[in-house]
Amino acid sequence: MKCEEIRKKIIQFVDGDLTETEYQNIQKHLEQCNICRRDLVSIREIMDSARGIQIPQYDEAFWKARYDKIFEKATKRQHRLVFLRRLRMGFSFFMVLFILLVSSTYFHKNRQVNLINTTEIVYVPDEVLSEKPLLFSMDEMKNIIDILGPEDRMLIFAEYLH
Amino acid sequence: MDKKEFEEIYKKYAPMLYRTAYRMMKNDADALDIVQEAFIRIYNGIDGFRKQSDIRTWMYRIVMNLCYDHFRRRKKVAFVSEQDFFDSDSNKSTFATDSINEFDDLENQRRQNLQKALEYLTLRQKTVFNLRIYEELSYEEIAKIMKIKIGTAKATFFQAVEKLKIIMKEMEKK
Repeated sequence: MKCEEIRKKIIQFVDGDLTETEYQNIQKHLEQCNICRRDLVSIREIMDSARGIQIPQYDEAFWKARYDKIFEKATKRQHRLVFLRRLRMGFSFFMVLFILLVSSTYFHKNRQVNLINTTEIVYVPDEVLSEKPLLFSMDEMKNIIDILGPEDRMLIFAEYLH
Repeated sequence: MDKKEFEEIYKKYAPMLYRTAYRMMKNDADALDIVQEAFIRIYNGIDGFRKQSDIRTWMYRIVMNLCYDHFRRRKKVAFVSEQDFFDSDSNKSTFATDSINEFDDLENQRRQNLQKALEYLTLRQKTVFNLRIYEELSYEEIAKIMKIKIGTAKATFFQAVEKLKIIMKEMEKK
């Protein structure tokens, strides 16, 4: 293996992230090559120094003292989150209701009114009409209805059904 | 989750998360704030946490995200490249004099230089380096925490060490 190849893998060599064969090949090369060995030493030094950098250490009592405060804050946050979640759900529910209401009003206003022809009135089932005595016979009704406009026809039809 | 269960998790993982936060922030108060916020999020998110993934990975990710947020808020994201290091005159004297006055020991001097050199890593390089060296996580775990590919994690670690090597050499020359 050439020095260039070795140097590319030397970090993995120190890091222990190589296959057994690769590891052995690099080790063999390092035994013979001073430059690569120096490279290895400098990388090892960096890693060892990094591991040696100290950070503040706190004992169990320190963490315990902070725990109650953290728990209190966490539960407060939870209550707020639950409240917000409910508020969001409520808002979504009312928005759906509102949309349904608006859309039903819109469709109600713009619905097509199908005026019933006089011929259709003739075919109203007898059992519906027979419960109440009729003021006019069907033929008389037909003549009256022919004279009336569509709205009056509807009114009369509704009145009969009622 | 009840108080006792949460306390168990807190006791077990607080020092670990503090270590990670401190390595990122280089500041005790910030690190403690991050640990506190992390545990508040853990408490509120533990029920939604998918049990199939490792809780440690999930916690590290929370801490990392908080660190990134912190950097963003303080506009610390503008990390300098190693070229900036070589261009900067102030570094030439700082590293040499500081180390000689304060530390006789060569190893301590190297550590101090390394600590400063670590500031020249990008946020991603620093994260991978810290997780690999200090927390001794596998590349797979690092990749999961950072949501990157394993190959990217390895390459980032490689770049970080290379960069540190170059900076450290320059420091030693000075």
